[in-house]
Amino acid sequence: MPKLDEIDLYAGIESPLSRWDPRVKLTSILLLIFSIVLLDDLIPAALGLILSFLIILISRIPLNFVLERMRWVFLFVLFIFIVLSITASRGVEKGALVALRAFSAILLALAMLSTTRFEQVLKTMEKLRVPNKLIQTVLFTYRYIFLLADESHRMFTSLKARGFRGRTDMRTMITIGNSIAMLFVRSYERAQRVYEAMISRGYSGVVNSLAEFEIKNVDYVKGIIVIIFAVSLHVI
Amino acid sequence: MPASIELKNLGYVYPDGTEALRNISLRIEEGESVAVLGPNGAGKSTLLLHLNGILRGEGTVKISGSDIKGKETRELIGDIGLVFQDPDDQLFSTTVFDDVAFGPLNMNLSKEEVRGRVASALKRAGMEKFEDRCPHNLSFGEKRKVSIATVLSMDSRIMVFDEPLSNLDPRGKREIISLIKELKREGKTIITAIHDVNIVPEIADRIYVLNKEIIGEGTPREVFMNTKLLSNSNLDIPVITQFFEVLSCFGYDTTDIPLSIDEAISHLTRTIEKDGGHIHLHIHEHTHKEINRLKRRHEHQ
Ligand SMILES: Nc1ncnc2c1ncn2[C@@H]1O[C@H](COP(=O)(O)OP(=O)(O)OP(=O)(O)O)[C@@H](O)[C@H]1O
Ligand SMILES: [Mg+2]
Repeated sequence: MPKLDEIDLYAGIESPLSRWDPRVKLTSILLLIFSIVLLDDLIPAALGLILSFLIILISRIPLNFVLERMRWVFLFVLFIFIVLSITASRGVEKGALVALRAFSAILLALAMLSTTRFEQVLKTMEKLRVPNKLIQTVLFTYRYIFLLADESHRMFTSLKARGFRGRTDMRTMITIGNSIAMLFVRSYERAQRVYEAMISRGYSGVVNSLAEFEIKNVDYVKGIIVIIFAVSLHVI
Repeated sequence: MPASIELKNLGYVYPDGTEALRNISLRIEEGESVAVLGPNGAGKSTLLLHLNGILRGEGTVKISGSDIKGKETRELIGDIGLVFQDPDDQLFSTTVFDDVAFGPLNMNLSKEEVRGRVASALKRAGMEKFEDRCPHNLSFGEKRKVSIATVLSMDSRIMVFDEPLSNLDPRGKREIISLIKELKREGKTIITAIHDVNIVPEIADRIYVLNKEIIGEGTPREVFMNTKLLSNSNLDIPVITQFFEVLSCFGYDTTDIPLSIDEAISHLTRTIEKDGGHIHLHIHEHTHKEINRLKRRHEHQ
């Protein structure tokens, strides 16, 4: 099992997206995502997907990284597409619409998040007056996903190192069942200790940060361009 | 002057019923460096987690004379900086910089001050080139040094290290040892849980031997010369001291036996000067018997 990459893996890559002020970036791209998700026709939705893909190209995120992320989404969307086209009237069209919207949204979210330092995302949410509870939930969810991934990686490595092979017999089932139960216990305890270590360094529920934001004109220009696209998808 | 740390009748039982600490009383003065020794599972980590109130058991914990009961852990960060045993517990940010800045940012310092502290903490821990790396992807030893930096940056008066040397390469070990000595010279109170007894005489003024209860206390010399305590607690003595015990079987005078390399050098120098330019070793009739006794003594440990 591969190690999970950090979400902001490509925040260091020089691109018009990583240089963009996170507040303007997050707001305008979120607007674009909503705009595309609300589209009801195939043609604008297809244009939306092309637009999203262009934004990915501009962000200079390596394409194989993007493809890797898209694989699971692809399977999921394929499933929905098949179900819709069999069950709904004009199902193929509806399915295609769902697929186009989903792909665009994922591409845009990737472009937005992997070019912004995670800490800046949090800070931006704070600046945009997202409630502190929600910000903390995001912070800890993010952290715990990695804890869980880490622990499961360790656990399966250790199983494999001791000659475990997945079969379809009872013993395999029991081993996997036990491992998963243990995984949750371990992750829970680890999470507890991480929290304690944060408390030891004065954590009081507020995420402080040194990140300083200064919105320049060019940031607004980029924002306006994206918003113009977001609106025009609905008027064409 | 009130003690830097004072524990009275501290006891702790984990929720699953494991009794980890029983009736611990101790006193550590301002500016003292104390080592906590004891076998695996002796309760060292559990004890250290009580110092800033992460765990709260029976009995009292006083920091600089005031009881921490009723105080939140985060109110104590100026007093106590605690480096956890497992760096994976300590590091949670997406960059090394953010993690080291976390404590200072919670202390409401100015941005310049925070930056300065991060830079100097990373430098002192030997990790200045790692600012932008993701802690998640570092090697274990690198993580260890970064987690030490995350506490150095808070510049607390009392520094608590839970096995700071484990998993470090020889050079990393030396760096952290000099760091601890430097902190001591600056007047910090230091508490270190440690397994490597060879290091102890170098960094600690005093030792507590723990095994659920405090089973021994004293200067390194007092503890390492206390044969009964050593065999009760399965403690080793420093290798250099063992070597001088061997020399004593060959007739070397080991009054004030050396506990560290530095002490060994001055001991040898003194002996040689006293003996007119050389040391005198010889095999006498008891040499083999004494050596065998020595070997047996260290093997049982
Ligand atoms: N979360 C926990 N729940 C239950 N028991 C625990 C827990 N943590 C530690 N213990 C038990 O408490 C005792 C003391 O553990 P502690 O971690 O303090 O030992 P230690 O001296 O630090 O050991 P080591 O040298 O291995 O780090 C051990 O018997 C351990 O099994
Ligand atoms: Mg421990």
